[in-house]
Amino acid sequence: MDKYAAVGVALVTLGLGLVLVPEAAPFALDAWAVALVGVVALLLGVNRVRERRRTPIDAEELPAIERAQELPRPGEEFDAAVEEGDLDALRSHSARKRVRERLEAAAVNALVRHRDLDETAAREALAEGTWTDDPWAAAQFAGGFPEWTPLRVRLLGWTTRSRHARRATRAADEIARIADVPDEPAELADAAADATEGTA
Amino acid sequence: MSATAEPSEAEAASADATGATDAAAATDDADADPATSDGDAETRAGRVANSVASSRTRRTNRWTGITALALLFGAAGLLATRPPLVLAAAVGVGYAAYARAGDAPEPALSITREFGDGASEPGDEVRVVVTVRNVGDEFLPDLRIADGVPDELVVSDGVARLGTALRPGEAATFEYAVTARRGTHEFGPATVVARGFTGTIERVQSVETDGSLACPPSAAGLVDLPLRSLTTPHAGRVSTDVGGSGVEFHSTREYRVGDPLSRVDWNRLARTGEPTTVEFREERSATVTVVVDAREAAYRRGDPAERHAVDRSVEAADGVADALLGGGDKVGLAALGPREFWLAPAAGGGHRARIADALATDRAFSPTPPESTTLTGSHARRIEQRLPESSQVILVSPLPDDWIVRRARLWNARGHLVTVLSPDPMVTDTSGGRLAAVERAERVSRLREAGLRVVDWTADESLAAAVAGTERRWTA
Amino acid sequence: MSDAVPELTRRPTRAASAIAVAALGAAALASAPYSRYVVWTGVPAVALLAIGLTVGSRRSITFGCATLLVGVLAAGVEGLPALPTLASVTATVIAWDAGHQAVGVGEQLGREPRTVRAELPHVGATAAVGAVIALGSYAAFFAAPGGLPVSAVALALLGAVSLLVALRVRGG
Repeated sequence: MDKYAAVGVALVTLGLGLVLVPEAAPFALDAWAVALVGVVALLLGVNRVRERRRTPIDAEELPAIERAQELPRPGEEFDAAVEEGDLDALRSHSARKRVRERLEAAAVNALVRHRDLDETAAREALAEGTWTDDPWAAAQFAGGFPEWTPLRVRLLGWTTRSRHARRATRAADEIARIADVPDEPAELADAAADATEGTA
Repeated sequence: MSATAEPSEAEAASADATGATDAAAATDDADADPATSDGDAETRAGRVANSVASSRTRRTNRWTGITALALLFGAAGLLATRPPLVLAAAVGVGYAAYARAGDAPEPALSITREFGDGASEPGDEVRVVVTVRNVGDEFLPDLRIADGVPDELVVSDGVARLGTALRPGEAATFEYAVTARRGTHEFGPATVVARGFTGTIERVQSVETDGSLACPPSAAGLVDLPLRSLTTPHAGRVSTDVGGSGVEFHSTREYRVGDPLSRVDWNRLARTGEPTTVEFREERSATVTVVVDAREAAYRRGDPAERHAVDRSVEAADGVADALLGGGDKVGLAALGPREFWLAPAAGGGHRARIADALATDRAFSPTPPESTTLTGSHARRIEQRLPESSQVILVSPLPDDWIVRRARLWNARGHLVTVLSPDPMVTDTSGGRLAAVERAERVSRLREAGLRVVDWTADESLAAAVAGTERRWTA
Repeated sequence: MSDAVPELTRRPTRAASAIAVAALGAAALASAPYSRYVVWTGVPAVALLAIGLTVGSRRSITFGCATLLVGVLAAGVEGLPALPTLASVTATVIAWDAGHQAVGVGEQLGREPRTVRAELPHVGATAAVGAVIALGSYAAFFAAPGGLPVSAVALALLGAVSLLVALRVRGG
């Protein structure tokens, strides 16, 4: 950008020189010359405004010192996969597979332990969707909505974009319900006490 | 230690002073600070700049577009032939030149901390007073500071940040309070942001500081963990079924000549006239190794205001070791994870102190998680090799994955009877959290089915209550 | 033991915000008696600035100040005298700068800590520079000789524009 500065200085000097020595002007300029400069300035000014609008103001973000360090929460990887839409992206077979396998293992264990099924019966129930009455949860393992799904839910299913995420979430909730993991921590302490009474 | 703003005398500690020491240590009399000896007579408290770990600049772009003011007003002035507008354009030009000339200073600061009364218990508030002094010779018109509060501590009162301007030699202070937690917490580097008058360039420095806050674990209450029936032939605590001269009543037998008179059942003699001797269960001491799961996977926190699982594990390990050593057993300590630790089982007061010290200060049990997340198969094997043959194992782990379950069952099968003490980082307000809770409950059940005892310790009960609750089901 | 987890209020700081609003108000008042354009744009300008300072929107602050500048520009085309023009423009730039300073400090430090001493030197310097330039231009205006040859003026102006382009590189 130095050439602009050099040109600028030269022109200003020339102009000042003409002020001092008016006769040296080789040609006469009218007011239109000043107006021309004005138009040039106008265009440049608009350009600068546009530049301002697209330049972000940059500043350092100071670390979050008031809280304790951020540590992962249990189950965070599942929540993150669901929220970020990983599951519904077009090429996310491996992500869906990981989540499906994890849910399947948890579901089979929960059914075996809390519903008194054996493993084969549990897997059948999952495949047929008979293990729950939530159509979304059933769809996670049955590969689609079971026949008894009401029409309203099917319609909603066609319009939802994050189908896989919703299936996975509902399935996780259902499994938790079957395994007696409550929503409230207070209930949990009681449930834990009860559960430990029952096991050997 | 001066905590007020005062202009310095003529001695300006040069900003090039490398080999910076934290002068606070020399003058600080709070017991929480580690004392560093400073015999250099020329170092005066608060006059030497702390060393700078990193320093970088960035453009803020805050004056971008000011030339638009000059150009548009100038254009309007020229096109409408109004000189006042051209004059206004000159204002824009002037500001543009001003902005162009802007720069950011390189601050030379001395940052010192004073702690209030040392933390005696987790949960106490510790006041921290930070003094920042400009020991360079530049005026710092726009200084923004965030103190390096340790990772695991929460600021409970005041703010650990300050915005100020400092003349050379001037100082400013700010204070705040943190809630103490068990362990040794190192204060990290303070982040300093300095700008010049124009604010076009910002310099960010990471200024190293010293200082740590140590807090002993809270007395968890003696935890009476009934151990399994593995014994070693020393007098100690574990009940065996062999009658002998221990402490707990077992049976009576006919008096034989030579039995100590203190063991004669006098009540029976008075009642029936028969001399009988009381026999007690022979209590033998056990060898126990407490293994703390300190892998990255174990550093999980449910509620942002609560301690994380490893913190609770360390507290539990401390209480268990205390109780067992008090009962005469031999206790060892190990950390399972990338930062290894091993202390062979032994007994005695000195050993007790070593265990407490390790849990409080060793990096293996640090409140900050390790960097590496690789599976620790080789670390586990090393622990297995070092375990004494007759040693029981108390495994303290939140059970974050199936790997630790397999490990526990393996050790149990090899003859080291395993008891699992598991703090539960419960999260029930998200689907993922509930799923994790289901999986963890399954692991607990599997361990119990394999014959291992598991204490499931939720966040809202004390360890003693958790153990008492599970103990009810354990056979004696 | 469950501690309350504190959060900082990351909204613009009070001192610089107050200065910004006062400066923009002064800018509007300086030219308002002379032109209705300034009156019409003054109220929305201050409103936009105040909103920007309440929620922390840099865009709103810039728009607010630009609104008043448009009004001053229109007034200037109409025939606003030199002194009010200079005063309004300078005060608007001060307000704009102070507003952004308030937002910036608020984002980095929040409202809770003491920050006044970090805001004042910056705003003070901006004000001082503006005052110097404004007075200097005004003095030059009076001292300048009349009747300059058009070609000289045109060349000088073109040169000035070129210099301004050169000034762009570093945040100008």
